[in-house]
Amino acid sequence: MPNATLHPGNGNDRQRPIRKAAVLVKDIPAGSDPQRYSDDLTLERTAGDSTMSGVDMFAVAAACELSDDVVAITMGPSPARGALREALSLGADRAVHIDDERLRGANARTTARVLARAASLLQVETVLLGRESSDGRLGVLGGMLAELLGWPLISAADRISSDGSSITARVREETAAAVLDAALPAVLSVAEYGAVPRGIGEGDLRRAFRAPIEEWSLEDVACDLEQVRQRVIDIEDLRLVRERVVVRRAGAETLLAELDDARVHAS
Amino acid sequence: MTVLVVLDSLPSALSSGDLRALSVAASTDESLVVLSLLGSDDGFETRIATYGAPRLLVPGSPIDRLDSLRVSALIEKCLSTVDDVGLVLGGPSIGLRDAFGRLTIRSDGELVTGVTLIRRDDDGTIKARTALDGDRKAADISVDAETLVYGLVDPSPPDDPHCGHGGETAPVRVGLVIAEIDSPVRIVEREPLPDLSAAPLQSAEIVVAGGRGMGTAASLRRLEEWANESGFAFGSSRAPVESSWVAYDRLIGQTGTTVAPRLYIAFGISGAPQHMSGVRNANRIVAINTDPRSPIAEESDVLIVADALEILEELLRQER
Repeated sequence: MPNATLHPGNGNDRQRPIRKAAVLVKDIPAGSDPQRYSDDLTLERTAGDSTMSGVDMFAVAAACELSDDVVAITMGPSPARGALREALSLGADRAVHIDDERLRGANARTTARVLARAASLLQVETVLLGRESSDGRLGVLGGMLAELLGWPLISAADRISSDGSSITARVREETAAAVLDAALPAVLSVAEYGAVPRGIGEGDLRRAFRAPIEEWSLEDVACDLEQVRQRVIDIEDLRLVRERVVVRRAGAETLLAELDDARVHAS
Repeated sequence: MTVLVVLDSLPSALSSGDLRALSVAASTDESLVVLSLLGSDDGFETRIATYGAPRLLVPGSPIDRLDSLRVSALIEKCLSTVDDVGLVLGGPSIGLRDAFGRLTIRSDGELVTGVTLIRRDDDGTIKARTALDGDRKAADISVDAETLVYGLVDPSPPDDPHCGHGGETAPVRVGLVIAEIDSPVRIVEREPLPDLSAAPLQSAEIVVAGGRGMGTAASLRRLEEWANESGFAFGSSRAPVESSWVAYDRLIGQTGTTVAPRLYIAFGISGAPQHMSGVRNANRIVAINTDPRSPIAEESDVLIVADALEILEELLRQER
């Protein structure tokens, strides 16, 4: 039974409440350099190093706590496989890579349609994803998936639990937190620290790099492409001009003056 | 064309996202209708009158803003009640992201995010300017005519009160009743967050944040106390959060909260890009750092080259 090594020290006998779950992960440009765009104004996803989007690791962790059968899914050109390897090393059991030249520069809606189809084909009970990706920062995929699948949705969740018939989770707003309960099947977007990723051992890494990654095309998910009605017509670099005064003495006085000034103008 | 603005914060304390949605809507020069999910209070009509909306829609019965099915149904009800809505605008809250995502699918619309400006051209296409790559870039988007557009705005500094037409007449309030839905999501309870006394980051006018350069958990604690006592919002960069010196709620940056204060003061924060993308909208950035070549120096209005903890101590002495 592979789960004995998959979830070390986590009560190997205990059955997790959700039969099968999908976790969606995204490969994003690593590092701090400004993003680069091709001549057709799509993000250069193969340029430079890439990594799994930060909050996705919490989604993978939550998925592995909820289910013993976790399929990690990603969409994108070949470097996206790296994000799947990361998901596998964090405990996902299977990995599906959807790659199709026709999906290059796909918008959120197309992405949601393809991923919803994949989740349906895999017959999962829950789809988990990160609250938003660190590059696009849209945070709208959850709503689209919930609508396409006809499932309830809890977004930006932490403190997640399930009894097998519903998912209970907390959503933190600015000054209060709401506890929501959604009947399964459901879509769950996970916030930072929504679940604690387990430590990755040598065995996890070996397994992650040996595990086969299933390759799917647009035909495999039986998804047709929609007519494009929205286009990027230009991308412009913005330079924020700040005066940059350097102060080497009387720092505290400078700060107090800044604070006074801001207080005067505060509404 | 009519622009529908959906607000989902308290009428008495509109979020920066809601305020920005109103001002972006007002700048379209189209006629406006406002839907306030949390209803209205006494002075609300007069306050939103400055944006020039002749009609204010409110739910006929209370609705939870996190219940995206009911919120979507209510927005659909608005679309069938109000003629010729071509654009729906809202702030990027959890609830509105979910509802706009659902509605984009349901009503076959187009979704545009990070909107800073939007208008309809003479040929009916909708042109939007959107923020990209942590506000380092702007993308211009064009959406075909005859397409319903849902736009989530990029939250902005609160000191940007772009009040459109400035109409004096308060809008007429209309209650909207939707058919009862058997929602598979239940809101079990709402609990105040433990640090309720601390000022919320997102809408704060003055934000004070500490980073690794503060040295210890204890000195960050002093910075936080000073901020709370002075009525400033306290935030943190990633390092103190990862060391569990500061609660995750306080993280500012790409994976945390995006702030847009009048004044942002960074104590011992080097300014990694992930952090800077969360503060770039600040009106004024003051950084205290021993290293004049740290990345934050590039993006500050004032750089105080000094030890952040020493400056805090000096500040506390002078204020006493």
